[in-house]
Amino acid sequence: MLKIHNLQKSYGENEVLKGISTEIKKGEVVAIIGPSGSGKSTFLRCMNLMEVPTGGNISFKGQQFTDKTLKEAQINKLRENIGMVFQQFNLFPHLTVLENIILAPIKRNKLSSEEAIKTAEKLLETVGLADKIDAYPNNLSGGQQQRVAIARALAMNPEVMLFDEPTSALDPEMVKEVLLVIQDLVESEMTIVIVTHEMNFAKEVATRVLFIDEGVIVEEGTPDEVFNHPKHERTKVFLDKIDY
Amino acid sequence: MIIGNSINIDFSRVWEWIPTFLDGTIVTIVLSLTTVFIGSFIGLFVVLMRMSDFKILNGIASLYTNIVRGTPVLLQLFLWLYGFPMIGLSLTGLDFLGGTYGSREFITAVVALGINSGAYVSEILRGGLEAVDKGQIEAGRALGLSQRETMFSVVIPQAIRTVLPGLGNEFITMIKESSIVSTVGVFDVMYTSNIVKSSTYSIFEPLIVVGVIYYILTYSLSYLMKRLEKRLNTYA
Repeated sequence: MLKIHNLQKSYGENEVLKGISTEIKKGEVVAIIGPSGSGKSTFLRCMNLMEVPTGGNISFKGQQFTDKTLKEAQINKLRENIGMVFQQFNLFPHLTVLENIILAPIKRNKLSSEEAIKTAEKLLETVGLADKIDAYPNNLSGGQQQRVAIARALAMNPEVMLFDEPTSALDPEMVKEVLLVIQDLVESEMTIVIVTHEMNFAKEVATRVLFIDEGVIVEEGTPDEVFNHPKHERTKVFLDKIDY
Repeated sequence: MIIGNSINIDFSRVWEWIPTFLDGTIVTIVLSLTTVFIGSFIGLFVVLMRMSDFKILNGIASLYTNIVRGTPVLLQLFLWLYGFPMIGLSLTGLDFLGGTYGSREFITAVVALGINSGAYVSEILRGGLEAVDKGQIEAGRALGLSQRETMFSVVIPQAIRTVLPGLGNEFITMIKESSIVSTVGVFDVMYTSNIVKSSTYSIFEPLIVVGVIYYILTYSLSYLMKRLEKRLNTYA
């Protein structure tokens, strides 16, 4: 579904991604792990062109979208199909929970406003926040905000969901409620790419794990392969250092 | 310094001039309202130019703000009224607006002050837009919203809350600064103190009355702005 070939990204002199190739297949749950500063978030953010790659290419269902000649409209179209959840939630503070969720589907003509409201109600039900529909984001806890953010991304009915450290900004007691929502998504066979520090979660739900360090994929494989039988020294050192 | 010398302070002498003061007050209000209105439009336009990717538009916009903010408003007013007509750029009065509001001086003052205010408003707006968290734009774009849609649905509504105090201050500044039009014969509240002075030979009292009027105007305006800010801050 998402093919990434020799992806590179530099900020001036600083080379963050040094040629990453992989393919995300439909129904896969890919966990990206690695030390901070390894380029894993940049890699994820290249997948929907939040960061514009400086080399290599990405294609989504056969359509190239690193080509510089690509029009804004086409990029928007592609992003409609690739949902993203941010570390800092990034809910729109001036809009209610409902308005947050229905904004994009209505603006992008995906749904009529009645359909959008119905979808929003259903999604809030599944993330367990039906009673917060008229609340403003600032009156919600971090965990609740992140669940709303997930519902907002899902309202566009995307084919892939990208999670950029979705629990890193949360208080410890709220991590679980968000992970449970993501787990539900996994069970609904959504294609997911998640950058995470929650190793146990990655171990449990991922179908494939990518270990990235210094801008390259050092190791990839099933959770069992990567976590229990790492082949590379760097993977071993990283996994030894963290406590999970 | 001598305090309490032979002059008798007597406000009763200016009392009968209250209608004149009020006429001038209305002119001041109309002048600063139109100025801020025009200034907001120019400011919005200029901030869009400054944020555009076209280098030329960008350059023109920053040249404009720099020149306006870097020269005295009195000089700008004199230029519009006396300087530019010398090179053939002259504004005419609009008779249908009447003797006060349609005079060449008033129209020119509105244009000069409006253009002046536009530069300050554009800076206020730019500050407000830049204060919106970058993550907000990313969230909008990640959902597939275009740059324009993100701007109008996500960024501007949030920026309005941040720019409101600044715009209120600009309005207050304009009320006070518009007093310079009295130097070119526009019948604003400042000018009325001249009229009253020459008719009653009182200097102190008319100035105090005018000062009180300015104070009432600016104080009630800042009170209104505070109320408005509170109402708009319901979600925070």
